[in-house]
Amino acid sequence: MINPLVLDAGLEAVLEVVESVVGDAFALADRIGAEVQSVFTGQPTVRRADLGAVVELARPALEDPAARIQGAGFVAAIDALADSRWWLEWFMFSNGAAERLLVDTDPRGENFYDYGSLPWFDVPQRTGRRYITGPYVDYLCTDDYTLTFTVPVTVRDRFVGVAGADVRVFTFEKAILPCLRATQRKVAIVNDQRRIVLSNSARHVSGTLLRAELPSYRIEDLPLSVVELTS
Amino acid sequence: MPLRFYGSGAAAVFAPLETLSRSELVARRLTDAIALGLIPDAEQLPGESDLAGIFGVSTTTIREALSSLRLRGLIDTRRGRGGGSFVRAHEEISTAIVRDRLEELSLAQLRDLGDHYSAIAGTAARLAAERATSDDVERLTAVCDSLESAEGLGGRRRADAQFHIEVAATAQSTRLYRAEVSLQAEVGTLLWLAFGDDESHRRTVRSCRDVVAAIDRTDGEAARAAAEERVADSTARLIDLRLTLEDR
Repeated sequence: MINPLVLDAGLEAVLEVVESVVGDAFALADRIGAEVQSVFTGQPTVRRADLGAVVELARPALEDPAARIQGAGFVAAIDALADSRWWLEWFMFSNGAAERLLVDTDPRGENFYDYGSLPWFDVPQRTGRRYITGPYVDYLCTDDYTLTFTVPVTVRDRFVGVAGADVRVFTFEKAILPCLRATQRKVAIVNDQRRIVLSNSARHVSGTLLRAELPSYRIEDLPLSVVELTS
Repeated sequence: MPLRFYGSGAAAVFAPLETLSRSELVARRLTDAIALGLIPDAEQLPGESDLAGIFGVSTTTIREALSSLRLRGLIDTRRGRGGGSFVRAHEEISTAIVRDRLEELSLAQLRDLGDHYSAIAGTAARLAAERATSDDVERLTAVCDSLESAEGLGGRRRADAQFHIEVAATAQSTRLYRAEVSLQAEVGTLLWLAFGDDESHRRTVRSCRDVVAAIDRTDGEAARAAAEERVADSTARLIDLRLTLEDR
């Protein structure tokens, strides 16, 4: 049996910053999710054009110079919308402004991609719970090393899609590394697959899998843990 | 500029262009798309300003590219209402393109291209084996399955490119992923136009399965060897084909 990680003031500070970055991303996802839910609740059929409020919520977050959000929006469950089987009402920060992501909705199209089985969509759909995907190379949206925060959107027990936000691993690291370094302990933040998101050890770099059993502390309600490294 | 879902992941055909004459490169990408059947016969191309947006170039550049496609008989342009550029696909295009492309390359350049590709594909496969979770292996297996059932040159090239991009993504490396995308654009199309037959397709599927099996065993060296062997085999076949061009 591995001992749980003993928290000290330094690690408490790390948890605080992690929870703030993660909390901001999920708060945006929740706002978008609530808005989409109210659209679906208010009318029998929903079309792409009915999702206009999503950009109004995403834009201020994406264009805020202090914000850490790279992308945000709503991804519809297959056949949830009346006028497109697949749809991403998604916006990204690019060249100083929020830009709409163009979606090829024709399954035969060169740029079509069926997102139904991808973790950021599938896990909230299956579990009914919020989820953090990554770190992963996001070749669909950001084209960068990314963390994606998604929450399920349900209307009268029917899953209609996920609302979410992207944070680049670069941004996550910039926010958290100073206090991680200040702990004076060798620690890593890992996801539920034991993949390292960030550590303060050159022997345990982001993206690699931590195979050893080590003292760890699971951050409440999140698929993230803080692990004490021994070397 | 608008951003595209699965933009770079779609590799080759509509990737942004960087070097050489821009209009030549646009013409090349459109020619590839037509030859691979991605833009079917009689299909209308997007308008000049839409194409300019997709490729990130000016409408003047698009006009030059379209004019060279017209000269080669690959498109028809009709004026007026309901007008635009329409694809004229024909059987011999693939052979002609492969010959043109290969003639531009020396044996030493082909060997060098193979060396570069081997470095990227081999390292991506080794790192993927070290860094893959069981979910990753499941996804790679699914991509292999869709490669196996893919039909037509365009469908097979796309599934093949997706497999290699997925391996680089499994390696957790943004740089290897970008290198793979640009190599797919450079050489992927050429390989599929030259060797798009059913037997080559079966060989490709087998080699992808070998890579996934090694990744599943977390055997980095075997994954690297399988990926490198496949590149070496493709390079040798391209060099053989290049040699036959000397026979005329």
